[in-house]
Amino acid sequence: MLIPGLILALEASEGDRDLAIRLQKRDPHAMAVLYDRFGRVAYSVVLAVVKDAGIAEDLVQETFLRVWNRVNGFDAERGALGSWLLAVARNRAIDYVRSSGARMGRNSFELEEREHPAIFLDMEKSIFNSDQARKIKTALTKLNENQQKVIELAYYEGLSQSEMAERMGQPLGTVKTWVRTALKCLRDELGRAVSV
Amino acid sequence: MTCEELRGDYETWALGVIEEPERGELRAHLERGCELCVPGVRSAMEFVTTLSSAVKMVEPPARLRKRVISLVAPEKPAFPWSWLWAAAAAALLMVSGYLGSSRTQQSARSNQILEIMSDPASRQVAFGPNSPKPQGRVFVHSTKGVLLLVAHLPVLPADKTFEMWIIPKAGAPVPAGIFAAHPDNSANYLKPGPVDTSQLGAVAVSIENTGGVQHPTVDQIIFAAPIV
Ligand SMILES: [Zn+2]
Repeated sequence: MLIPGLILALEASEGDRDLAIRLQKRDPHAMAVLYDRFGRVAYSVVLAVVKDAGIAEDLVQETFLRVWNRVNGFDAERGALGSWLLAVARNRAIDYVRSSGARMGRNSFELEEREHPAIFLDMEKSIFNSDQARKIKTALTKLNENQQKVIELAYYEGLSQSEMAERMGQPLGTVKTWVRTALKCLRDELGRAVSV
Repeated sequence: MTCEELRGDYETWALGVIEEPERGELRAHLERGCELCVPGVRSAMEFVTTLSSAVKMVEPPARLRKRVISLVAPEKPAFPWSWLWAAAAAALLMVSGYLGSSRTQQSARSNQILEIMSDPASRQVAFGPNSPKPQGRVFVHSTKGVLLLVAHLPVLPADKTFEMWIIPKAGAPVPAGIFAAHPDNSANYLKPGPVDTSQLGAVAVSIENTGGVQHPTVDQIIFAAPIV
């Protein structure tokens, strides 16, 4: 079977590392490559949160600009460019729905710390593939209704656990338990899927 | 709080739902570079990022690409589109010369090329723009086919040819036809017909003996464009 090795070689030949270095050198062509690699998934993530194509376009543009402006703080050798970019994209989207929903309770400092380039080190690089998508979707179906709901509210709407408790009319402690068990269940399920 | 107590909060932090006092406690561990919590949140963030792959994939409008690229190169196109269109124009004139086709076939083929290039439903991938050679762009359209525009190809001996490969995410590379370079070492090659874009991993080109082969000679692959 020559293919897995071949694909690995292909990815290594034009991988995250080279692309990050080119971005750091302010090579405008690298921006095109970055977009071609992650534009679709970034747009899909942002659209899933904001549910408006025009706003999603603006936020994706902002995402790429942010990555371009901050890429010098990114470790090209160890960093996972795609994961970082997606975190920035999701944060832009969450920031938008929070501010438009008059939910100003949490500041953008918190978003900033979750998209600091130093977080995105030593990660698996090729996580965005149909195989991964299938595993995640399968894992999500194994959650019960409340667990699915809290993951959705967190992922797509950026609600805090207190906000979820209010929205769902449940005690905070109950919501916290749902969140923790849902996350643990997903991680266990993915771990199992990976090791099979 | 100890690292052990904070362990269960790595994921809630990564997901952005952590609350006080855990948030402040964990932040303190991260700020001092805690050797347990830092890798812990990295791993949790990696996990949260994988949740993105469950999102329904939607093709962004083609103009978004231009908008993003124009952010960093407002004066001129970030990718040498002028070259690309020149290559397409050259294809109008030159395709028949290589394929021995009639003028009508030539024009039909040129139209196919322009159609794939201009269709917003085509997925485009640039490859190699920073390496000396070769460089270009692949257009993939689910019904119209795979179009390769490439420059700076190596000069081949008479008994060799270029062969394109469609490489699925799983399974063996599928031969997608042989082609020759123009005198300026560029080429435009179209493999018409439907493509299962969801299963497409990469498009590659290798140097093979005249006539082509059924399996690529791995060390003769001159470039490959992963289709993300
Ligand atoms: Zn710690």
